[in-house]
Amino acid sequence: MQLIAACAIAALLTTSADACSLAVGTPGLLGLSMDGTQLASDNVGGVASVLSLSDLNLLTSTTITISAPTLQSYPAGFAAGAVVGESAFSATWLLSSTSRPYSTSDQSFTVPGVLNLVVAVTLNNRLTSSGGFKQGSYTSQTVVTCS
Amino acid sequence: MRGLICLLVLCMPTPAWAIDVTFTGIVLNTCTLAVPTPGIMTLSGDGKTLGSDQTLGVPAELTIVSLGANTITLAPPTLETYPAGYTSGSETVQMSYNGVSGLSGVSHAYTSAQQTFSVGILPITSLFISNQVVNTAGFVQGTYTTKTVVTCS
Repeated sequence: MQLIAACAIAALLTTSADACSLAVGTPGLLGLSMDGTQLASDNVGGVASVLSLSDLNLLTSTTITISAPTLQSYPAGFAAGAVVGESAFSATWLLSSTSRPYSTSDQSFTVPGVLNLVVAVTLNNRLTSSGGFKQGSYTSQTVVTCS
Repeated sequence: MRGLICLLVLCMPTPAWAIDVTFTGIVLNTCTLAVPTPGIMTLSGDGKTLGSDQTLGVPAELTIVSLGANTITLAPPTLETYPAGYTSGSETVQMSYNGVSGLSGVSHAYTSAQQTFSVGILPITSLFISNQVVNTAGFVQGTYTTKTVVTCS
């Protein structure tokens, strides 16, 4: 009986852990720098994206990976090959937090079990083009993964 | 058996879950054009060319400010106004241009065809545009104006 009860509790915890939920609360906006060479969410007119990760595994730690951004769309005629994409973030969870500066590489951090009920991540994207940006709309994309 | 099932559930690896986070940026007009100095055309010694490169003529100065990758287009020049009594149609209208500073590598000899060139990030920089009207039959007394439409896109 005790084994069944323990198994049921463990199964419940594990079931909830299987369903890592990621939600974007604030979509990001990119603002143009004064010198015209950067579109970034921490420039004037830009907005960082805020997302929450919940339903994480309470029994074991969870690794959250944030990819370097990719340029998804841009105006016709723009030389997209010369653009450098970077992402930076800060993350907060129960009793602790972490942050990373802008990087062109994938970045990850680990949240201990039990403390990871909800992880709030503030994410910035930055696109750099030394030749400037052509008039039009641009979108960048970062993939956030929990595993 | 129940213990075994329980153990299997606990040992199952946590699957990876992912979400795409999208950022949107809109770049508005990043180019400004102005003409601080309009051009002036004068008549050549042989009376067959009216141009801003002739003695006492003045090329038009166009200033360009670009905050991004833009294309400058100079449309073929046109004869806009001329005195009554002048028969238009037999003349040739041409333009030439040359840049300075950040546009020092930009120039073109007289042509009647549309021209384009690319600019990147450019602080306020001048492009000097000359126009000329060539008519082997000469010109009647009066005022003539030509126009070159320049666009930045």
